[in-house]
Amino acid sequence: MNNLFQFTDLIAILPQIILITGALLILFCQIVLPRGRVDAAVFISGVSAILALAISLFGLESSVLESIFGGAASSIKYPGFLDEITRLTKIYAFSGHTFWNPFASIYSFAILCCLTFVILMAPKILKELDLNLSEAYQMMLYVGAGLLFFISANDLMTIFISLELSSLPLFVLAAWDRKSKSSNEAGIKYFLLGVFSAAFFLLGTAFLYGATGTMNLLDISALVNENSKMTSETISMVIGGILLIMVGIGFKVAVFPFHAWVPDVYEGSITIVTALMGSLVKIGAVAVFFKIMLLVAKPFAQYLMPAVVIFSVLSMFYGNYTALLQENIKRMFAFSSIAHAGYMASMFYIPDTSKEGYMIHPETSAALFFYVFGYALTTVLVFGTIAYLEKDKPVTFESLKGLSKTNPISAFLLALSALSFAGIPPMIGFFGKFYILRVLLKSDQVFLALMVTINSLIGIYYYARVLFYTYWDFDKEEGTLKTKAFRSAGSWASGIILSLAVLILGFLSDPIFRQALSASYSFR
Amino acid sequence: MENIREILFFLFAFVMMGASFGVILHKNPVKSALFLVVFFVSLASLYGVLGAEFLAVLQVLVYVGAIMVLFLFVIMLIAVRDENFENIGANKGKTMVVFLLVLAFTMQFAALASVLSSDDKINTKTEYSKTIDSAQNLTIEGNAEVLSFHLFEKYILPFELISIVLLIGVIGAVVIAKKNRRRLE
Amino acid sequence: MNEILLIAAIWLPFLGFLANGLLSLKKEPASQKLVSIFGVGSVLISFLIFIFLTFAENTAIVSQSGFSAMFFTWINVGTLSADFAYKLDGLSVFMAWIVTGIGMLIHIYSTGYMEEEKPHFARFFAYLNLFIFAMLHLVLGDSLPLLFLGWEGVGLCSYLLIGFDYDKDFAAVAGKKAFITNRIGDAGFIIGMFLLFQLTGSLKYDEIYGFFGANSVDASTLNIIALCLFVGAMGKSAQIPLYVWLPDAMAGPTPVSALIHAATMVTAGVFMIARLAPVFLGAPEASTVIAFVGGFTALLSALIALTQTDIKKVLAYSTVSQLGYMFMAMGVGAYGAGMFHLMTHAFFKALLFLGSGAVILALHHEQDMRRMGGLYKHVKLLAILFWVAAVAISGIPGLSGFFSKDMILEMAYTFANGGKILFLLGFMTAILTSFYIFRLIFLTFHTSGDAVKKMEEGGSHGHGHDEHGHHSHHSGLVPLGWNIMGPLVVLGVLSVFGGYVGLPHIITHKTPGIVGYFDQVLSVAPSKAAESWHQHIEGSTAWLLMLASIGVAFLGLFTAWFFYQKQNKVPAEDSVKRSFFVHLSFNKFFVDEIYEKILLNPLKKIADLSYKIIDVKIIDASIDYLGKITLLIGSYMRRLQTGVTPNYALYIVSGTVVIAFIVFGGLN
Repeated sequence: MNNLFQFTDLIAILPQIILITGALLILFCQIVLPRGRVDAAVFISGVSAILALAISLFGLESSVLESIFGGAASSIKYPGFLDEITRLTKIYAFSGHTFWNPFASIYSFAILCCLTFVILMAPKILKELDLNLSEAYQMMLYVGAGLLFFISANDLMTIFISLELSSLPLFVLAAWDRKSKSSNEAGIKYFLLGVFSAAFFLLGTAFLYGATGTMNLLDISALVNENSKMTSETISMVIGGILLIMVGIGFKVAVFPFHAWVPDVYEGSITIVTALMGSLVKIGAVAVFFKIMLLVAKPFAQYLMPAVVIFSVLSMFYGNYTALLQENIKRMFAFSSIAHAGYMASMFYIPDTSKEGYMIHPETSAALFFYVFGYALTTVLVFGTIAYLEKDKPVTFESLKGLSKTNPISAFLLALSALSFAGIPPMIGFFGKFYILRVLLKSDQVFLALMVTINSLIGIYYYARVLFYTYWDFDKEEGTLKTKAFRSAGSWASGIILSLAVLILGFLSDPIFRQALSASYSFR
Repeated sequence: MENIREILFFLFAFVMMGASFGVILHKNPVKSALFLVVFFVSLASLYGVLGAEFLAVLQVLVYVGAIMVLFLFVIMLIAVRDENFENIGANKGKTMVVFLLVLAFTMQFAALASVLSSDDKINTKTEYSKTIDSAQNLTIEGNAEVLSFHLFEKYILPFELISIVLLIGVIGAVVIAKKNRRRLE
Repeated sequence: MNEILLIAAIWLPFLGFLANGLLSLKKEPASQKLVSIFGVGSVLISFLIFIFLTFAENTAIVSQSGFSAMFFTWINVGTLSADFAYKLDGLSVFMAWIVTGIGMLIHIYSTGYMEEEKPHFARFFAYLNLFIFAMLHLVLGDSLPLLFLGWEGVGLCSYLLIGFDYDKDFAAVAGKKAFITNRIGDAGFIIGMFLLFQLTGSLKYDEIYGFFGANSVDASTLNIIALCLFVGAMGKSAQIPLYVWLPDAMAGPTPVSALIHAATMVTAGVFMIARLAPVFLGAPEASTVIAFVGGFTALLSALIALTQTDIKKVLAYSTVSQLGYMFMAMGVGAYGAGMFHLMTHAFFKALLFLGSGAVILALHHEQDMRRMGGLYKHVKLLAILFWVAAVAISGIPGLSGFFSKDMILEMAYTFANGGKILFLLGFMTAILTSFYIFRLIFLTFHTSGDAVKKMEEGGSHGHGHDEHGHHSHHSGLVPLGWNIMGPLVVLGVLSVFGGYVGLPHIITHKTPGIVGYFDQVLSVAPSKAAESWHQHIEGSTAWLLMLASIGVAFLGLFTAWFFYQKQNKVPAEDSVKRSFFVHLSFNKFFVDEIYEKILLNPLKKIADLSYKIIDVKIIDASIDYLGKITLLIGSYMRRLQTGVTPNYALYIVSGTVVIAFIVFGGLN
């Protein structure tokens, strides 16, 4: 028997280790420190998130800096030992349970970005709500670590456990405001439905295991891609397994009809937690869906495609139509997130028509990544803004009236993110939609492209309502929301960075897109 | 030998299914819990049929011996009565719908399998080269040994992750259940 | 390392913009010292870097491909790629010197000029820095998209700065006019750019040059492209028929007029033609059109300048006229001469504008020349500098304007397609130029009237439209600080000696000197193509032409002296009836009114009709209907959201079954 594991195995999960160590340190501080635990927790969580963020970049192709900054930056080199890490970490670790490659790196980067911003924004809000416990930051770190494992796992069992690892703290966070009825309701609903859908996921993995006799995704991939090894029973079992896994992930992405928890939970949870749920979980789920699609589902994609088309189109219509009628801002954005899930789902099985046989169009992953990244950043921005906006009662359209006068910064940020969601150039949301439409048209998916376009048009209506209410001159009447935007330094920092990202990142879309493109090849 | 194994498998499988239905359909929570015990025991028996005696014993010890007893204590302590669950009967229609849906799914599955079996294009003769390796090792080495090797070597990562999941469960439960949150601070 | 320096030089003004922009957001006015340090410092450092780079990378710069630096990838779609990459070659290094050098002088000047504008000081410098940033992109970008980005950027800054006093109607309107007129030109420019991309498959200069080096292209295609691009130049560089915005742009503060509307931005069209020399050299017919448009613009605006009474308006029309000269040079293929004139013009016109700004400032924001005169006694140095600039612009030998103007006239004379007519246009313009510029000088500085007295008597009367100074008592001249006079002196020196770089060419008619330098750096041997456009003339003819143009310069000087100094005439008040031609000239040939009648009014009518019929009756109605249906569907759909958890679970189960049906149905 060989050793338990090697040092390189640990390096492959370095960001996760940093996050979990941070969480355990917080736990430790709680025992050791007599007071100031929360401040310590904020500090530790922030530092570990940023550290992990920095580390996550090292999995990228080294050309990424060059492609962004061109020749002038090529003289900048990583210090030697970090270079070594980059080289070492492109491996499968823990006897094939995880991997660390550009794919994992780029999605981890996206997740850690959002996590960092949420952690920066959270303390002041939680303090004002009198809910500032150090456990909150611990939970946030666990969510991040769980999702990072979710992305980089290469084994069905690890995938499932990391799914649980990422959802359990979210259940706790959803019910964080114990005094509020709606928060309790959100927690229990999220828990019940989450566990219910996880059961589907688990059954799916069982089917895959039963059909192939292995839980290693790469092995499964090798088996299902080799036609001669497949029997009729195993084919149907694999397809059934993929279907059930799709249900489990569809729940996380919130595709119709697995969406129903979204409005209630988003609305019920405290808003900063909603920001966490809306951004992080979506990135993770999309990444895993893409991973499974690429590795396992590809040979059967033509059978799965109709289902995906139907559900993505239904999600778009359902999300958009119901969002039209919402008066509560959080609920409106929750429904719109269902529509966005539909846009993302439209990319799930796009064939490459230029090739013989059934191939996934190579640009899908890049377009998907860019879309979900932009979506997640905008989500953090919008829910962060709302979190600082609301006081005692939820923000409704009615209460947004005259906001541009009483609180111009929040009004601007709300408008900015609404425009980005609506896909108005030059905001990042536009570029996301642009790439999606480009891939759809390149592979002759005219119907889907049409649906995305129509739904974007419907979406503009309710996003424009946000602008209308915040900026319209309602007889010079003062707004009813008297709160000040971003009442702490951390939230200011993340607010500024996020709004700049939403504004400017679109112009840098090309290097990001190419990086995501090369990341999708990292399994070959 | 193989036949007996198969017969035993189906026997326990049916018992398990029946017991699970009992868990979700029975009005009295105590009886539901007892059905769960039945379920666990037959699951343990299935492990035994597969030759994993150690796991079977652990299953009975941990789940039946410890967890279910705790469950029953809790149920009896909070004294849930039958009438609290009166409205379960009112929801029979919905239960039936769900049941039918699940049945439909299973039948599709079976039908598909049979359709594909008759398909000539797919070669039904070849089997996977890769088999479930652990079952063979079980008879060669000791049960506990194989299990521990798996836990601490091949499956070390999920094993550690589960420990964190449990930790989160504990902390989460404390945070949510604690009455005076100021104390935590 | 030098690459990074180049990028830094270009982005430094942007940092200045950010810093000053942030300062301008503060409620109370920011410290002027701080703003000045940011504003002037960023441009100064950038200028120094360019000087350094010119010497450090000398060999690379004069080579064919120039010295280039890549910053980051911007667009990469299909075959179209555009990066933030910069190209410092013979042409652009020259422009970079002018932009940052003169820009720096004008920044210094502005610290004095804008001193009173306490609340808007930071905003002003933010805009100026942004302008420098955009202009550097325009001249240093290595591809047309980047040039266009700068093109639009300077347009935006120009708009912002013209409308700097946005609370005054005329400024806001002038800003809008400039913006809209430029958009018309930009449309042409974009079309030209697309056509060029279609033809060459690239928008990078190096690849475009390479394409023209390797292929011979049909002249008719290039004529269309060249004309489209020239439409863009018409807008930006104020040529007929799109010149109307430039005189109105004088509503902006005077340093802006000097920097943007005289020295740098308006010459962007000329620069663009030089940059795309291969395109224009392949399009002889289009080039002829450009030459004639330039010639007529020069004459028309010189005619208008004759009778204007606002000191800045005279200079504005003079700028249009001089730009006409440059386009004439570009049109006849004399790129070196055109660029040379661009440079000398930048010197003396910046000097004239800044000088007039100093006069305006000294006279408590009086712009009307009828209320000036006799200033020579009070501000001797300023008057001398004005004389220097006037002698330079009128083409009297020895100063910079003479060399470049003479070269253009000579090249026009030898042009094969109607060169004589072009020469005549330029020649007449030269007389008029000399006349109106000396008229300006005599009226301002020398007539027996005394501006100071007039000002004190005038009281509230006649403030023109510029009401910066809210002084209740008008006593004496406002003293002019070193930061105002300093840049003027530097520009004066440049106006005197700037022309001598062209001297060798004038004397020998051979290539060395600045003209030969440009012929060399414009990469595609322009002389070869351009030479065929010109007839050969004898050396004696050339000397004769030169003598003639010197003669008319003195003629203009003498006439102006005769009317305004000897006879002591002062232009009549607005209400007085004038003779027909003076009336035409004074009212700018009614071009604005004609545009309004012919273009604006019909367009407004069409817009009005289409709003009332198409928009309200058809589009609005159908959209309303669509919206109602949409809301109805939504109200049904939201019933799914019951709030009951088991229902949600049911959705999940039924969704699973439906997927299974679809997928397994597809399998069979």
